Amino acid sequence: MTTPSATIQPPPLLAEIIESQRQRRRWFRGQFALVWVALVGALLAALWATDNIDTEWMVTWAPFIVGGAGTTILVCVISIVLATLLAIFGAIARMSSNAILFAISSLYVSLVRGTPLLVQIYFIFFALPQMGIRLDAVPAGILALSFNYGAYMTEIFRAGIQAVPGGQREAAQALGMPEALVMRRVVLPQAVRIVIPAIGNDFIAMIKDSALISTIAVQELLWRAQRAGTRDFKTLQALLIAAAVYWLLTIIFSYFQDRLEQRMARGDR
Amino acid sequence: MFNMRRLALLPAAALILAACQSGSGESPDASASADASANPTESGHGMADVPNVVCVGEATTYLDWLAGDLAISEADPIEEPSDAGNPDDLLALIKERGEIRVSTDPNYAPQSFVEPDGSFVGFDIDVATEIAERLGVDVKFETPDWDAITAGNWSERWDISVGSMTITEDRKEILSFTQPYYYTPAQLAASTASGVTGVEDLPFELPGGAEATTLPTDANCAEAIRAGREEFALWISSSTTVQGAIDEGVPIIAVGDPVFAEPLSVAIDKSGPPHDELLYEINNIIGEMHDDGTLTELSNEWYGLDLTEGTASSE
Amino acid sequence: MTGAEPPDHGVRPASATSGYQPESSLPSHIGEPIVKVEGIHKYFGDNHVLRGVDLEVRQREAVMVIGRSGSGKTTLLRCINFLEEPTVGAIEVDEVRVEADPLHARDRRHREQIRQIRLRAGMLFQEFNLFPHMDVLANCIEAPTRVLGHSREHAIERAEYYLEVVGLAEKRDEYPSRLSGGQKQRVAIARALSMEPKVLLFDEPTSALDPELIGEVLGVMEDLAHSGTTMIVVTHEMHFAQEAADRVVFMEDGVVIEQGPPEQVLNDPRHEETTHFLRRFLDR
Repeated sequence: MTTPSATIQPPPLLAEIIESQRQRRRWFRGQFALVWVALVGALLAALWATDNIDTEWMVTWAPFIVGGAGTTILVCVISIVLATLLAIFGAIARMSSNAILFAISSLYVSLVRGTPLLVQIYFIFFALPQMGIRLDAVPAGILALSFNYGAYMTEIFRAGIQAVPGGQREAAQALGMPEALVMRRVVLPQAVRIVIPAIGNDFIAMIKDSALISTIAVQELLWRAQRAGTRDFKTLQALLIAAAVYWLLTIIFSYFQDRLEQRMARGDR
Repeated sequence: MFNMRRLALLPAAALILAACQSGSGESPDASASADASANPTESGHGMADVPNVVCVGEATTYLDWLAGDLAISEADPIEEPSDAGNPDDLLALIKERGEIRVSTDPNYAPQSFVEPDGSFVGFDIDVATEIAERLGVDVKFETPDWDAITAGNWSERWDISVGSMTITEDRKEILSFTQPYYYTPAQLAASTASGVTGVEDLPFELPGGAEATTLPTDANCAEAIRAGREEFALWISSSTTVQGAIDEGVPIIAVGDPVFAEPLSVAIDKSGPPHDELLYEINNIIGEMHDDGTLTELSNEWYGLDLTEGTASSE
Repeated sequence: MTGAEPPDHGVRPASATSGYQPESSLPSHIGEPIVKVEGIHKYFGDNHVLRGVDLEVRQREAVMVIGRSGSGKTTLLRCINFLEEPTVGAIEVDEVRVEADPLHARDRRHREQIRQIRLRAGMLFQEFNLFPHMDVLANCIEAPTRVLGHSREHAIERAEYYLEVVGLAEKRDEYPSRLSGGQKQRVAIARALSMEPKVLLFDEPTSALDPELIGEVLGVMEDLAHSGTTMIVVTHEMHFAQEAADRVVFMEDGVVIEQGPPEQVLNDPRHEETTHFLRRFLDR
């Protein structure tokens, strides 16, 4: 059983062109894969040739180190959600005509963007307890990442909200919707769609930045790699495993982000 | 067109080639350094090149020692608290919780390190577990960085440190110490490539004559030397860690006798809740563990020798 | 002038049809004044856009506002529901009266008054402004449920009814991106009607449409006008004005130059400016 459309044969010349184009694409993909394999292989070979790589050790310790990826992802997922919420409030406050809200959110953004993430992490873990706020390592790490990314994403959300056409707001107002409802039901949902690709980018960046919270003893990927490495004087191997996992995670999440972006592009715009 | 394609593959091939060459180029170096260490009399001419820098782990007493201001101290005498049964004492809180939280930085084999299943093992871990058992509570390990432990202000994140911490005058300002549960000798080590084999080869007077460079933890120094970094050839750590590195094949040798011995104790944060009773109780437990041979047994198990007597002090 | 899918004349919003008389003679079907524009001035910075406009619109009356671009007709319309805050003057819609008060525009009470006006005056835009993240039905029930507090069932029932009125009942589950421009504007009309306002304000509703799509929208509007929906329409469609208007208002330089029945204003204008405008219009 062939469907009617499948029986339609393209004319010979067209078929030839299609086939040649297909072949060229295959060639391109093949070369692409080959170059990657060759370069990564060369890199691994170079490392192996230093005579400093104990593969047996790596096999033994890989499960322990890779296990830290769970913590890394968990921390990042929670942090990106909190950062998004912070960013929404930050963006609304930054666009507000209320001087107090504007001042608070501007200070927030300026302070966070003007100081290193590592300093913020230390501050939350070591300084806050002296003011009576004692957070365990994981919550402190999540707070630091959320706080930091929230500030950067405030600007993203502000741009996103401003990118929603003014007519949308007017149409909602003309329907008698109060200001808060206009924001919540009409402007924000559209702004979120606009900024989702940027959130995805930030999530991927956060996966890598989250390595910094190893310094406050959150037992994520890098922490585990360091502890396993120093135990047997094999930090290099341990870091290789961690790096591979970070890389893999970013590849995976980039893939999903690309698909999401494509779907959004195809969507209702 | 096809040439272009082949060209694209060239860098990859070049990389592989380079890798192979660096691999084969490694062996002459290695044998050369092996020669140097095997033939100490010949090493004299290389000595002028030994940098005046010693690598140490961050926040360690070795750093103070190199700076010439290490003031090793003794634990203050601990007397039985008069108001026994104070419900606010850390001891009461721990008993009520049924769990004692012990800080350990599993970054220091063989005192404290991780196993592939994620559990913590080591001499300190065993000592802490034994203390908890004798207190009649469970033990839970917290894993802050070492400098967070020595800095005090624990914010009640954990109750005690069983982390081979040296009693120093500075630390006594912020932490309470029990009697030492063992003593480790501090040991200088040098890369075999440096040609340094004895104290007389050192390009400086110790202590105080050398500059220090810090890496996050002791073991990183050994690894940096193994990786071929040349900005420092000397390292100071505990003799047990140095021996561990030598056993792992790090190209270093111990230089001279241990330079000083460190009394290592359980510590409690002075900025935390009152802990007179806890300190007294743990101090007693350590005394018992000395007396009944538990500590000696553990020391033999983890270090292959008995480090529980203060006799290992300098010279 | 009717579109591809002329709506069924039998289906009419109850509120809009009440008192509807088939006679086209003005006095018989036109009721009491429901919109009053009193002495409105509007400045944009130094630009004096409206220079004292008075206008009364009666129940079931269709008023078309014409004039060249920049004459202030769109600003007038936007002032009626306070999308622009008038500088001076007052607006009254269905007995809700709001004085222009630009200095206190942010007062809670003032804003609530404005919202009351907006609930009574539905607005249609050049660019339709459907909510792209909601399907057609959701567009139509959003405000009725969340602003008027109608139950979902009731809101859906009304929305389906008005979608029927604009001839798009079968599109209820589509997203706006899948609709043509003409369909979008018809959905926008259904969305406005779903709030059951006292008056509809149209701001050049067909000027963003491709020529072949204009007819279907004007058809719906004409039906609404003939069935007694009170409306104020800013438009450049002269033929439509002639067919559907009870009254035509000609504006220039921020004032109303003349107004009257379409046959009079469009065919026999009394003012030179009107003649001038219409002639230029013909040239286009």
